Amino acid sequence: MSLTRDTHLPTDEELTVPQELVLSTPWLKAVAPYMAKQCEKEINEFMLRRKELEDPRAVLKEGAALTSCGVNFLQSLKRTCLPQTQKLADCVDQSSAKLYMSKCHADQKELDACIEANLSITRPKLGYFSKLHVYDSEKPAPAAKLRDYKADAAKVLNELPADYHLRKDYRKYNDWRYNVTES
Amino acid sequence: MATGAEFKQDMPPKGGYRAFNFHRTFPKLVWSPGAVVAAIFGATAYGVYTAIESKKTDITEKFEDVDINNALEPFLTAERDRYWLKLLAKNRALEEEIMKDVPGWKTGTWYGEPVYFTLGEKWWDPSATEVYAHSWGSVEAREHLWRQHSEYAGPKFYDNWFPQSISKWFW
Repeated sequence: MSLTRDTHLPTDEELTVPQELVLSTPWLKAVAPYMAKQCEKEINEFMLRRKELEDPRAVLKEGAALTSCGVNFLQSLKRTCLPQTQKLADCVDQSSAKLYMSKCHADQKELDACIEANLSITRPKLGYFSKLHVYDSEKPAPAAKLRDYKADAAKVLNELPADYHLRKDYRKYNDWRYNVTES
Repeated sequence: MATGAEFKQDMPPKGGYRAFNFHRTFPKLVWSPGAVVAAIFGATAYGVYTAIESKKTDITEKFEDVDINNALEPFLTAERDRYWLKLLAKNRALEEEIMKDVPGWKTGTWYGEPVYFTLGEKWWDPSATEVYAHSWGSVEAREHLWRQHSEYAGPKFYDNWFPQSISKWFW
């Protein structure tokens, strides 16, 4: 594997959260819009930072915060609207092979009403989670970093033993073309 | 030889033959051409309308599902990141354990020659082949090429008919 000893990997403690989301797919689909609406701030922070940093190791805290927000929401949902959720999840599970929501709008309305009354969360309109959302994080975006790749490569090559069998049968990138029209 | 007493001339029926219809005859006109053309155009228009409407319904149905999946994606991504990093750490530990007696071996490199020369501190996901290096080939086929499974992977009605050693090979 390409991960060396110098590559920093988080410890198991950093990678373990007290409680993961252990719901099955029909239940997740039933509660997803409310959960995502409730945890919108955590979601935006996590997804934005993950996209900016391009590194799963750097957003573990945000990810753990997101999961714990989801768990908290599910616990409050369990205390208030469990029967309605159960009904909707069963409907999603049993009314179509692809677990679509289209056959379950009646049950969904019941759950909507319950969650709005007890947790004051309104399910967003259809398409809300597919739109682009503008979010300003408190943390600044990382500066674009330009590296001297040739110097890096030369440094690595110099560290190799003198008698190392470097391949000599390579060709220049452009020479791999079979004719001039290939790019 | 026949005699005149045995001979009898056939004659027309009483009242004569019925009048012969020597005019051109047409089949009875059930639907007028205008009605037929109107019906065809009407049926086509209705079919087109129904097809468009049902396509809209299908698209909406699918989009509803996509929207829910979008809402779910951050939660799944957070969980997947933790699982993925745990798996990679385990793989690296396995490699160190396996190759500890090989002189000159450096973990993550080919005897010191790195896979990526210019990666620096940037994160780069190892490829699936590397990650499954310590697994059975069948595990990679099952988990990486998961599409070869049927969509339904739950318990089947025939599960109790075969011993576990055989039924695990069924999809």
